[in-house]
Order: sequence, then structure tokens, then C-alpha cells
Amino acid sequence: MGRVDGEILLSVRGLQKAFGGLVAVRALSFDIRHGGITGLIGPNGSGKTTVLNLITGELKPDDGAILFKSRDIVGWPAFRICRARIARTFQLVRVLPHMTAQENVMLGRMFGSDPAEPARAAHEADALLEYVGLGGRAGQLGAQLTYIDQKRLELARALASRPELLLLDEWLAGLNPTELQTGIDLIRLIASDGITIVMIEHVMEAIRALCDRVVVMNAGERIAEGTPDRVLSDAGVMGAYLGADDAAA
Amino acid sequence: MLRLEHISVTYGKHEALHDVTLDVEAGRTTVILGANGAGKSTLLKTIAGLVQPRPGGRILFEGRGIENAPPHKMVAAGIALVPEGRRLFGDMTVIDNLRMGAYTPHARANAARQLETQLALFPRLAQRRSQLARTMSGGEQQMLAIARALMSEPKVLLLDEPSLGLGPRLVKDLFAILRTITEAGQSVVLVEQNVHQSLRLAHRVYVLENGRIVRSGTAAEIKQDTAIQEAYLGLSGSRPADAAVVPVRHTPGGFVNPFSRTVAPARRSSAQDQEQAMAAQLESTSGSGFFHPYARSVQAQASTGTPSPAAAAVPHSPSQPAVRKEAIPTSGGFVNPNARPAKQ
Repeated sequence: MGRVDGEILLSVRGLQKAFGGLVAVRALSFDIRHGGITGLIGPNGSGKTTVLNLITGELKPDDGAILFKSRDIVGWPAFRICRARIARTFQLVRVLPHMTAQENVMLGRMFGSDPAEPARAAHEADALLEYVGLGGRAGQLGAQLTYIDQKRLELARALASRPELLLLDEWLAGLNPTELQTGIDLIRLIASDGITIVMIEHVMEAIRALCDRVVVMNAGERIAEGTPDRVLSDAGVMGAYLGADDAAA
Repeated sequence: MLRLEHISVTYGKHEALHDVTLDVEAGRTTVILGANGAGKSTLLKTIAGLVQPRPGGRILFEGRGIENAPPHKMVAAGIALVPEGRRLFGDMTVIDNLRMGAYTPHARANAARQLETQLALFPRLAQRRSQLARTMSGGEQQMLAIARALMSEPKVLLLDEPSLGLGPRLVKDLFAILRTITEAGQSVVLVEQNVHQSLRLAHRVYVLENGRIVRSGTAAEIKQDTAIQEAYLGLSGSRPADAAVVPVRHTPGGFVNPFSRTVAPARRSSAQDQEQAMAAQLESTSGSGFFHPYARSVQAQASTGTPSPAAAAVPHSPSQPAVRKEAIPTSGGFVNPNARPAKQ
């Protein structure tokens, strides 16, 4: 890609979105630099998923700019944003239930940023399934996979579109502590391959282990930003999000 | 109070539960541990009548066999499930969702009193009583799902991953409420990935692996079990306490991204190769029989083995002789007993 670590990849400026009378995102600005892992945290209902939906074109903002590689992508349809190399996973998984795991991943490869023909897409899909831990499941229907395997499948599909920026929406939720460590390793590895990551996550252990920066939202606004250590010891963040006795954790 | 005897469940050719026998005592909290895919949700659905067990197994509730009863009879008998994903009536208000929980004749008679009780237990729901369920945050929805189940005045409350997707503060609130409920004598069967918090509530614990009960005991017994610690609590074995710990940035175990932007071998130092060779050697002698769930390719290429904790303790870089290198608490060593067998 020829991008330099630290260069601004995504810049969100004055983003605003309301649903009826509820302002879900209010005057939100932040920068995502190339090569890092940024955590987007905050209480349930604080607007985190709405931000992902705005970046990926699923929703249109009422106001503000989203600059990806210096181009304003506001108003672009979702498929075009995907082809510009932004991919995501969903909090409530959205695999295609009546297609096999392999076919789900092939879609990402065939209709993503660098479309491949089916034979090649199938071959690469198998490799990606192996990569996320679904090696033996290529022929199973999306609907037959367990919840966690569906999440792995979504990740493989997102990677198949060959993103520069990968947005993960609670990808580690629902894992037991041991499974969590495996998931953390996989995310770290994806980042080490040069993919910039923004992750919404409630698991503070993962945020501490992975993120170099954290943006904290509450009621649609950014209330803190910085390194995990600094942000997670911030009094406002503890009050709004962590609860008092996490101070020592 | 509730007893499962030799319960097996199959989905097509896949056996989700195999010969499960367990007891749920009145007034106690029973916690089911297990990896994802181990059969925990199937177990709760079977008790709730949503899934039929294979012939031969029995579910005894207060002495009566109920293994073939449909779900609505189970609710009437006193078994209520809070399903994974909540399953609220999204276009109904909070109050109407709660009233739906008291649908059985027995519960309907006490609905008004129960409504007061639940709104007192969950003050947030009282504030939001006229709001549509689907417009509430995840935490509020989870509280509503639990309150709705309690409206049926269940003798046993079944909870399937109630903390899923909740922020840290809400998880604390949730467990505080569960403690209040259980201390008031409510019998609970809890499936949770938040293992540490769940074990604090638990009286009795069953561990499911690949559909089988492999271990049971009191919460204290289960916490002491080192195999359980490694498999479910994310605690690796012994760690050299005196050594400084330097995290490895790239964990070299088994993942190969076909789209990797950087060529993997170029990034690997000879020291890493050495470490991996040692790790592979140690791993091959560990005899644990467990496989890293993401690392299928490890079996095929022993030279890129996952570092084990033992390997992590090997002095690493010549320039830092006094420093021990550990592959982040995670990278090696943890084993998933439920990992599917490696590809043939």
C-alpha cells in the first residue's frame, strides 16, 4: 500500500447523526492513524455502532465529514466504501445463512476492492478460512455454524475484501477467558500484517492488550481519548462506563 | 428439584449433547461452564422444551417426567428461559413485555403484584415503562428479558449468557441483580462466559465438553482445578515470578494470512526461528493432546509450532540476557480441550 505508519488514514470531523429526537452521535471528531489498533469504547447505547455504520456508508450523517485517505466518503454507497478498502464485522452477525462458509468468503473476494474470478476466490477463501480457524468447515452452510464460528466467518469475509481499515464490532464478545486469548492473538496478527484496526469492545482486557489508542464515547460524544492506561484511569470514564471498583484493576 | 438423566440431543448427524446427567437443587445456583459450541445453550433449550432429547433420556421436574412436554407447558410448570439474544417483543412497551411474561393462568393471577416487584428490582425499567423494547440499549433490554422471565414466577430460572454484549459497569449491575435474586432463594441455572463472576454466584458447577459432562463440583473445587483454570479461566500454568516479562509483538503460532502485506519469513529473526524450533520440540513432548483452535496448520508444519509456556521461559535475545521473554499471556500454552480435531 505504500502507507507510512502514523500517517492519518481516516479522519472523522464534526460527525452528527440523530434518530428522531435522539442525537446518537454529536459533533464527533477523531483521527485514525495508519498501522495502529484503536479501541472505541463506551456504555451501551453511547453511539459506537452508529459511528461504524456512518463510516461504512450504512447510514448517512446529518452533518460532518469522513475523510478516508484524504477523500470525503460521506454519501458514498456502502459497496464503494468497501472497494475503497474499508471492511467490517457486525455485532449481530450477518453471514449469508444459505451459502457455505467458502461461498460467504468468496463474495468478499469477488466483489471487494480487487475482484478475483471464482476459481481463484475459492482457493483464497479456503486459505482465509484456515487462517481464522474454520479450516474444516468450508462446505458448511453459514446457518449451521455456531455463533462463534459465524463471527470467524465474518472476519474471513471482511479480510477477503482486502481492507486497509478493518472495523470490528464486539468481535471478542461471548468468548470465555481462554478463547479470548486466542482471539486477541488473531487480531494482533492481522494488525501486524499492516491492516489498521478500529475495534468496538467491552472487554477491557482485550483493549489493554491490543490498543495503542482508545476513544471513549458517552451519549454520542467523545468524552476521552488517549492511551489505554491513561483513559481507563480517567475519572469520567470510570463513572460513565467502568463502574467505581475498576479503578484498581 | 430438576434432574436430567442420560439426555442426548442430536441435530441431524451432529450430537450436541451426549448422555448428560445433572441435578439442579432448589434454591441453589447451578453454573454450566464450557467452550463455545460445547452444548450449553442446547442444554438450556432442552430443559425449556425447545429441543427434544433423544428417546431414553429423562428430565424429572419435582419428580415428574417432562422430557416431551412443549415449551408452554414447561413455563406453566415453573421453568422460564432467558434466551441468548433476549428475544423481546421489540414493538411492545416495557410494561407490555412484562405482562406477556405473566401469561400463564397461575402467573396472571399475581401479575399486578409481580409487576410491582420487578419494577422495584429493576428501577431502570420503571423509568422506561412506556418505551418500546427495541429502542432501549442492550443493557436495558437484558434487564427486561430477565424481568419478563421472573414475571412467570418460575421455580427455576434458566439464563443463557445474560452478560453478552454488556459494558463493564452493566455487567457489574447485572451480577448484583443476579445475586439479589439468588439470595432471595430463586433457583437458577446459569450459562455464562464471564466465568469469574459466575463462579462467585455458583453453588454447583458442571463442565461441558463436546456435549458431555466431564467434571462437576462445588465452585471452590472447580476453581482449584488446574485443567479448568487453563481451559476456561485464561490462567496459564506457572510463570516465572522473578523474571522481567517482555511481550512478543508478533505471535508466530500457526496463522498464515494469504493476503499478508509483509512477507512473513523476512520479518522473522533467527532468534525467533530458534525459539520456535524449541517450542515445537517442547510441544511435541507435552503430550497434552489439545490443539490451538486457530492453529490447524501447526500439525502439518511442526517448525512453526506455537510457543508453549515452557518455551517462553527460555532466555531469548543475546542482548538482553537477564530478561525472559514471554509470548503475551496468551500466545502459547493455553489449550482448548474443545478444539475440533485437526484436519486429517
